[in-house]
Amino acid sequence: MSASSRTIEHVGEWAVEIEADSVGEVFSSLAATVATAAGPPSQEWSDWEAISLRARDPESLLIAFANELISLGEVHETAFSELSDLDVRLDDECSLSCRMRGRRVHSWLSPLKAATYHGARLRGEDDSWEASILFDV
Amino acid sequence: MISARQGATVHARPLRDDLREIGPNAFELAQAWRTDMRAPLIVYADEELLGPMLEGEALVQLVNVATLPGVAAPVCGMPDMHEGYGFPVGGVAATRLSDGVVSPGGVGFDINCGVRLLALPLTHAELGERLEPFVHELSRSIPSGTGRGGSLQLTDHELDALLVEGSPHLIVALGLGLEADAHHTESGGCLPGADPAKVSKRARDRGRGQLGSIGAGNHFVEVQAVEQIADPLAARAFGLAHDQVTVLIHTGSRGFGHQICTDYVRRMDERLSAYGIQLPDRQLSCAPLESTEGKDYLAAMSCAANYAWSNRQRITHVVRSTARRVLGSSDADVRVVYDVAHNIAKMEVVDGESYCVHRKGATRAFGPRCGDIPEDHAQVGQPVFIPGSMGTGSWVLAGDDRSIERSWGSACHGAGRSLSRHAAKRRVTGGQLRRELEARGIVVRCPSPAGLAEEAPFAYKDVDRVAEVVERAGLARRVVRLRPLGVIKG
Repeated sequence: MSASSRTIEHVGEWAVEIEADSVGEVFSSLAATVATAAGPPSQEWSDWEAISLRARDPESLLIAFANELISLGEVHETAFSELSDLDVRLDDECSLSCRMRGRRVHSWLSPLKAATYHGARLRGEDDSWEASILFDV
Repeated sequence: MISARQGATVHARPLRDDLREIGPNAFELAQAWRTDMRAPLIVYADEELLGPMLEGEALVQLVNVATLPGVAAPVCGMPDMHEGYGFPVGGVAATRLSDGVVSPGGVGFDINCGVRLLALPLTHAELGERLEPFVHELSRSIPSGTGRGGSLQLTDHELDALLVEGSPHLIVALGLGLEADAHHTESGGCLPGADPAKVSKRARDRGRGQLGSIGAGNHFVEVQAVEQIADPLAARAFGLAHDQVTVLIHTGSRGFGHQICTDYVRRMDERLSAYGIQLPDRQLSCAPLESTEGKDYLAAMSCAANYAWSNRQRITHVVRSTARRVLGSSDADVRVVYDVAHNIAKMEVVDGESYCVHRKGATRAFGPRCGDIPEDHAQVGQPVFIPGSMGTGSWVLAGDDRSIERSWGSACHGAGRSLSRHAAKRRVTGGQLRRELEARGIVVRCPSPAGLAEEAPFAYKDVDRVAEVVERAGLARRVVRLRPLGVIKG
């Protein structure tokens, strides 16, 4: 399975586009991307943190997950980059559960304040998925 | 005229010919331009500042703001307006208490991000070679990065008290300031109605250890000198003299405020259909002012506003301590000129009716007859600050009475970005920029070279042009120009 992400131009903020061959890889790629902004990593890995999220639609789930990465990361000074036991459901009610961990950072330097709904997108099927998300910096 | 499908995002963008010049540096877009608009727009700009607003998404976003339920005329764009998410940065919108909504996006994630100006008891000439040690000691004493590292660790009880009482709590209970500091802070450094019970545990966890820190991005502490006096009477009222050293503090509510905005945008988004609200942009997520969600948000937002004022008060205390050590000044010698918020929603009464005035990247600019300003400023108007970018000047202005009818008593908050952060980093490295600034005698302290490059002067609009437009539009008038001597960035 593979995924790619790139940051794109937006005056004042930070926009990310992701392409992946599964919806799970979208979320894994998002975690890896947010983790790159966290700050210089140490050698120390955090414990696994279990999270469970519900949202009314796929975009809201994407944003909720991104915000969980930022806020939990800031609290624990950890760049959460690795997901395990990931279960993503995009039904009438969307949900995500997983365990995540990452390297602790020497100092949390991430400029990302939060993910926004502005232009948020998550769509795809089978082995072709794409997402975009704009972060306030 | 553009028709809007309800619930759909409309991408049509106003053209220059759609705008009608209605006064000096004031352009109106009629309410009839789009069928879902509930109020006209007035954009304060000149032709050069207007160009990027028309080419980008800022004006479209302002049109979207004008669709909010209960929004009153006019919805305003400030001269530094640029694209945000939902609300543009540099947007002002007032909603009626009777039938209007409150939108967390109209405040921003960094609730009560704002600016405080301190006046020191010496001139640049008298400061002399102590400039570099002063800036260096400030950078060592004020935590700049994000995450933990605030200079004040709080228990739950202390945090609750601060959230309810604002900066006066730090002054009275913790001895971290002077009574005059609160008198020279917008709203006395405290928004009433704050309720810590409306704040999530996650917000508390993020904010608990961050008080007394600047944060990243475009936040900074800058040492300056008064370079030019445009209004001698107002300058005297503000206590500013030629070549006087000042310190400008730009920071907000840190992760605490960010989390509150995140929590309530999500909560309101989930309840939009229950209130029959359809929006062209979900980041405009909102709730009726009289609803549970609306009231809870205002109570939580007030906590964040009070946190931010406390943050700037704590940093003021550190500046005083540093000035005492390095310059030999007393605490009373370092005076708060004023402290203004530029991301906030406040209940204000205009012509006998109550409104929720959202200022997103905009500051209050009350004139002499508007009230709620310190006695020593009452003859000239409330101080307004327009910080430029690093290496350029900043302006201190005085609010104009005409701002109430023209912009809900508002002016802009800065020079406004013109280039993305990535574009700025492509043009210059942090090291190059540091060398350029230092070659001009500006002392620079910044932990992140990339962060420095993102804030390069060319990434921002011309602050002198922005200040001139604010004055010509009758929102505030120029008082003094400050030039940077040293900058500490997050």
